[in-house]
Amino acid sequence: MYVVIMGGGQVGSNLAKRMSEQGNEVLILENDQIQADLVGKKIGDDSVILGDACEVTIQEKAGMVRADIFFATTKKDEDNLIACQIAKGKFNVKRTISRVHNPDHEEIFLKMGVDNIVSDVDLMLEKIEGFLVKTAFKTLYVNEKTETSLIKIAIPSNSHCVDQLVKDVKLPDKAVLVGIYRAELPFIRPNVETFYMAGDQVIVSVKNSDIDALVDALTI
Amino acid sequence: MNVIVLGCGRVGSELASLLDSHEHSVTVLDVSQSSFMKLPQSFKGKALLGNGLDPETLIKAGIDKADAFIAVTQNDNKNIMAAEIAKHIFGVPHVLCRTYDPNRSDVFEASGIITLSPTLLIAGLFVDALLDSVKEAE
Repeated sequence: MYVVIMGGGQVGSNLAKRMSEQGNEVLILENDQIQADLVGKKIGDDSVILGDACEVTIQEKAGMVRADIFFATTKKDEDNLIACQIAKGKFNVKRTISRVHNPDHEEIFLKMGVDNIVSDVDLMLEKIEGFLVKTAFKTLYVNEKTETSLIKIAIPSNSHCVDQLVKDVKLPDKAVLVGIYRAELPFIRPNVETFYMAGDQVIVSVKNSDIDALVDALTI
Repeated sequence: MNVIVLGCGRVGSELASLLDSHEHSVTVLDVSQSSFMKLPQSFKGKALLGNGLDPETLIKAGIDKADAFIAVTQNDNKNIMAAEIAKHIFGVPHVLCRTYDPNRSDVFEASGIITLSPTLLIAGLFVDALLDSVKEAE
């Protein structure tokens, strides 16, 4: 495939590297002289043209008529959108894929015929939310009268509690750490020297209203 | 008519006050507060600080009820994209924009946006003036 990429920043140059490793012919269009030199050193000077990809003449020079895919990777939504529209409207490029910086702009990109969009913010939020997925806990027993539950929670490996002394990790008021199941070991009754470890199954008695706070305290 | 003018530079401010003097209801948008100083004292329209590519700002500017949208910032791509948002997201009936680069205009005119290129206009005017001047000298 012949792949043309607008923008030789981190996204553009790494994309170029990967696409060319996969056996594609790759060309980068970069507007800035210093950046163009830099990316030329990375992927080869023959694979970079200095110029504004929103200019029809530059797209012509890049041989866009035979391009299979056009990627727009700059941080400026207006530049990415216009370059994609020129690629499609003037040179009939089959597929245009664009980075979108402002999530509010996704709709106009799709309406104007950009085939695929990659939203910086959406991707990042998705990833961040992935880190913060609430760890499942299990309710072992509920005491209706005292509105208290006995809960079992697993300590995830990225929890701040890992390697912390049990006594140093603040739990919600009235929460009582009953004990810890750790791998094959016998049930651990915590004392002042007990640490939390990744994968621990922690048994806690806690007020029903404090369950969310307890999960946060042990898993974030 | 309700008209939104994006960009309060020389052309934008002139355009806004011209439409205003013709009794149209005008809102001018710009990212720089000081640009509004170019508007005449007599200007009765609204001047709104904000990014014309931001749908929320456009809603604040009253794009839902706008009859016309004219984009005349210094940046071709911003003008085109803002015009496309006005036309295709908000359905503004009359959408015009300035593009210094005439080569790319046809791509966007296909989608119902009127583009004007001062580059072509000025070049044409210079040629006319030159030919007139030569003719007079003869």
